[in-house]
Amino acid sequence: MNAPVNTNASVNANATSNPKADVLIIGAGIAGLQASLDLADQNRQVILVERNPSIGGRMINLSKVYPTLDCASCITTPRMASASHHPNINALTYSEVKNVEKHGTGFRVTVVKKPRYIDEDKCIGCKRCEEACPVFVKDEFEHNFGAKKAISIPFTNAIPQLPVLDINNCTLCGACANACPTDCINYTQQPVETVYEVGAILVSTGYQLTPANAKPQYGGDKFTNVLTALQGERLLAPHGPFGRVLRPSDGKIPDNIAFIQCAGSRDQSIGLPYCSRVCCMYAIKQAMLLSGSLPTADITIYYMDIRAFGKGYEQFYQNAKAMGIHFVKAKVARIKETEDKNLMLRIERQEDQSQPEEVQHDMVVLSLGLKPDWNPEAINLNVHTEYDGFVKSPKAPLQPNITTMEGIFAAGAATGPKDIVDTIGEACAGAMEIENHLRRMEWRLS
Amino acid sequence: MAISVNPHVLDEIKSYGAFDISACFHCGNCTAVCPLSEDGASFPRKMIRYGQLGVKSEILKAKEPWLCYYCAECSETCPRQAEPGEYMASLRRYQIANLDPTGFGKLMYKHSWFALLFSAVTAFILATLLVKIPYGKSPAHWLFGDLVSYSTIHDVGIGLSVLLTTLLIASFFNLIRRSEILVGTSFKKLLKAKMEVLREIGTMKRHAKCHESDERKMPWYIDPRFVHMGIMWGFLMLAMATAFDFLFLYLMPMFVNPIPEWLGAFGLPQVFYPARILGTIGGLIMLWGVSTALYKRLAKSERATEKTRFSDGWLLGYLWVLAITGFWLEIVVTFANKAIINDWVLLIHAAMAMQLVLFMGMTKLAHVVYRPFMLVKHALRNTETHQTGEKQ
Repeated sequence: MNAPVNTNASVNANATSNPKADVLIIGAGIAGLQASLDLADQNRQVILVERNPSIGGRMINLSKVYPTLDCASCITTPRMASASHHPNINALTYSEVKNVEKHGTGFRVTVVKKPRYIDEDKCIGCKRCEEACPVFVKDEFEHNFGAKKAISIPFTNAIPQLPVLDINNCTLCGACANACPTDCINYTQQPVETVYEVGAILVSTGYQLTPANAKPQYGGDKFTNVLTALQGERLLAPHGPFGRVLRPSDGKIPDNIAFIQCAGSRDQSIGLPYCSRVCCMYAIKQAMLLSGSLPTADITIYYMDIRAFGKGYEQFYQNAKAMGIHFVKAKVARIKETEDKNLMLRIERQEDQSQPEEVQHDMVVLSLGLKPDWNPEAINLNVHTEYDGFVKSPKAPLQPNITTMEGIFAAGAATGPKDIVDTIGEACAGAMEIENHLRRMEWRLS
Repeated sequence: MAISVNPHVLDEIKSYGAFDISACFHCGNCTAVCPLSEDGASFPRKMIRYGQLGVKSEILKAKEPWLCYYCAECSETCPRQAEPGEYMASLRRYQIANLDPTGFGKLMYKHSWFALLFSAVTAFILATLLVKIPYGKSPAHWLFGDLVSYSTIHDVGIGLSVLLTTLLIASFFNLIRRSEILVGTSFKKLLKAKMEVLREIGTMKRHAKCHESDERKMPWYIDPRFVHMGIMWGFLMLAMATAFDFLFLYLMPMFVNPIPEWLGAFGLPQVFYPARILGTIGGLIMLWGVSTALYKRLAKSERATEKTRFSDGWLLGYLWVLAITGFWLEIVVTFANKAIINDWVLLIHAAMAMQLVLFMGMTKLAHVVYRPFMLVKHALRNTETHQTGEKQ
């Protein structure tokens, strides 16, 4: 249909002073990283916008990935490094898309860069400020297990290695400014807005977990030893908050741990009727890792049914059973906390006579579901969402990346709950869709 | 008895309530969240299973529907919104309707128009039986008491009681026939179980468990437990007052006026007549209970009353009209009002009261027999396990 385009050489007729790129990708999780690398390798100019101070998304936060039990950070960091060093990728971290408007065949995107309160060009990532800072705040990367300094690099392998100053908790004592060897602390930094002109947009905004209090009967926000799935991941991560598996209330080594499946999905009573797809597998994975760390611990998974749908997943599930992990078919209805912070789970035993029963565990992990993490309506565009809030894919069976707005594409958990394997596949497909779109539009970069 | 699977049974039960247990995927949340589900009485999921399979014989003799007080926590937390609480209520309706020997119960439960029509026709027939026309007196001069004869009320009442007892024995026989439980139970055990059940009926202590873990615990005057206790105790006090009345007026004429002379100083000595004091207090308590319950039903303000059906409203409506007309009559009798409209009110009151009794086996009122019976059955559960243990 169209002649191949020499992207960088040709001149755009509507040339303005705004910086230009071929594609803007919203969200630098594994989907955004994969798509940006694929596009950049095809000599497309990519702007990668990330809300958090580091790229890497949820995956860098995980312990290991199923069904291969590869170390999540070991296989994510190379992708992060490639993206940040790629000459065709401009990664805008700690930035948010504020507005998108149609402009010619492409879009005009307003990106707000949030202040880190440091001069990013001067900072050398030496962490002297972090050492000097006297203020401790909750560590979000560790899901509030443990603390970090009010000025700190978000986590060990964050990219870029730039600290963020938590201005809400900073006492303005000046310790970091005194310690900084390059004099880059700037307490009065302001947000910066930049307008970019791009040919296409990829929405790869991923997911958030169902809130821990979505089902109040579980006391996810009240009981110390009831963890969210991502807290469970951090406990098991090699560089996790405690360096080993301890239960949060008293630092005891837990020896009777329960996983509650469908704690935040497949439940119409909390408004999430769909299956989140990943919970069965991540729970089995965490259970396996737990039995590796705590060989004598009893581990029970309470499930409605196990959905091991992917390649190698059923074998993974059977391995877990063979390892001695207990699988009990029961939906936990209620959790009560005992005086010594153990947890009483009320279930119906469906074997034998089918009796209601209370079982005690010393730690519980809620297998929470996946919810969309970005609302496209916020930027006033014609990108529709489904009833569940995920981006609508009107041509789902054949072109899953197409959204209701031409030129805007979506990939990964933004379009629906998805595991890493499927997310990467969809991100690659999305990169291809975008390349085709740009050629069809005869998009030229001036 | 062989168990046969019959998918039509569920369709039939569905005509007794708005639930969707076809959606149930048996996660067991309802049974686990239920504060009343316990060893030897696992519900609602077990009943859902019976319903899906269509095991009519098990459903009709099941005690589980009557152990449920419909706090609706299972319905609120059901991941499939299958409304297990409403299903349990429907099973209660289904049992009553299917064990009623006349067949009117089924029609009344299923079709509100039939319930209305049937009520109206029987009310008319009863009223005709009660009315006597004061011949030779112009309607303009009719006075309170001319139109309705008290002796007729009593005669008709006794006739109806005999009829009712026959009907009730028939339903009860139906019930017992399906429950082998009472066979081979020692009298001592039965007595113990009965005492346990009487305590439960009087205080509804199990009901207190229903909202134990509920953060939206209600004040006592709208709490379903106390509202129901109000209706029940009010009703019982009124029944006792009627019995005393009968006792004092007919059997012990020397007690016709057992009121001390000095009370006359306050005027209206008849107000202090013991049976009437009891009746007045009972009536007030029942009026509060019935009004609250009726309001909740009409406003559909709670999960448990959201799916209210005509049959629930029928009983409450009757009790409410009876209470209001009862107080009307008490006031006109006290103040010796002679207006003829009071006769019409009396006619309504008497006819509806008789209907209530007559329809006992085929309406929600049947629960006053079913629930205690099933509670006794449940109280004897250890015997039951013992028996099955022997069989094995």
